[in-house]
Amino acid sequence: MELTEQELIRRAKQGDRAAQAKIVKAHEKMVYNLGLKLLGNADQAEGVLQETFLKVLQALPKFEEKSQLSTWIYRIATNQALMRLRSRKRRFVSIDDNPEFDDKDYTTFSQSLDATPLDEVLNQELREKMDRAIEQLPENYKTVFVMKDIEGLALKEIAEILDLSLPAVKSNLHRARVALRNKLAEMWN
Amino acid sequence: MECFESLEKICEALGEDIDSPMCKEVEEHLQHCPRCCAQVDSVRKVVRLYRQIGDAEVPAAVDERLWKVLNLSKPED
Repeated sequence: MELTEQELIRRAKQGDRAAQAKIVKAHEKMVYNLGLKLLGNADQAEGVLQETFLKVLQALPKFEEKSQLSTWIYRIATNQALMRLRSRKRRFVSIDDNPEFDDKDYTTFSQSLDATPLDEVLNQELREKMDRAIEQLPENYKTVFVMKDIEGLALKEIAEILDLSLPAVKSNLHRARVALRNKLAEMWN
Repeated sequence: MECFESLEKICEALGEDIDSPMCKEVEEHLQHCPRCCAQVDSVRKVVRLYRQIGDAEVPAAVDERLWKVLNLSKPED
């Protein structure tokens, strides 16, 4: 019989190794992908994965269950990823820190995006451009964009994880999207 | 036009209500301005492009090392 999340947490807190393993297995992919997308590097993503679950298992007895288990794990994973991100030296020039809609004409770019089928997304050259554009986003934009538009978290959950107000999350998301559009349009031709 | 679908989200992002004078003004402008429509639409399409990437599977070697580090046995499927 499947255990409820509450029961799983209760058992894991008491040191039940099977329950702890179930929690790790259920969230492993999510944590790995967050690390991969925020850090853009498989080795770093593995580091985030290991550090996150070591912390999760260590802190589990103190988990107060005020938030969902996945939100709590996401918060720990985000902190681990951001610590790594901040420890890196800036190797690039960031996109404009305050991007807004500009007066350029994006009609052709918009039309060419329509003509981009799913297969193209898997095309190595395009993926590299997309990864490079994300890589260049300032940390606060990148984090919100990855969580909302790639990982599909709710805005409220992101605000909780990042300890930001909802308007701040929305503002960062809007700016991240515009910055990415600007960068991709620039790289497109 | 597709960009109208994004209007509500843009206004929300800007902290405005969809019926606010500012949003009404934006909507009216977009109806007559293909250039601004392309601005809005291109952002929406870039988001769609990124959404298509999807999640990567955890590589087997990475998975194996994780369970070893945690000293846990991986549950069966």
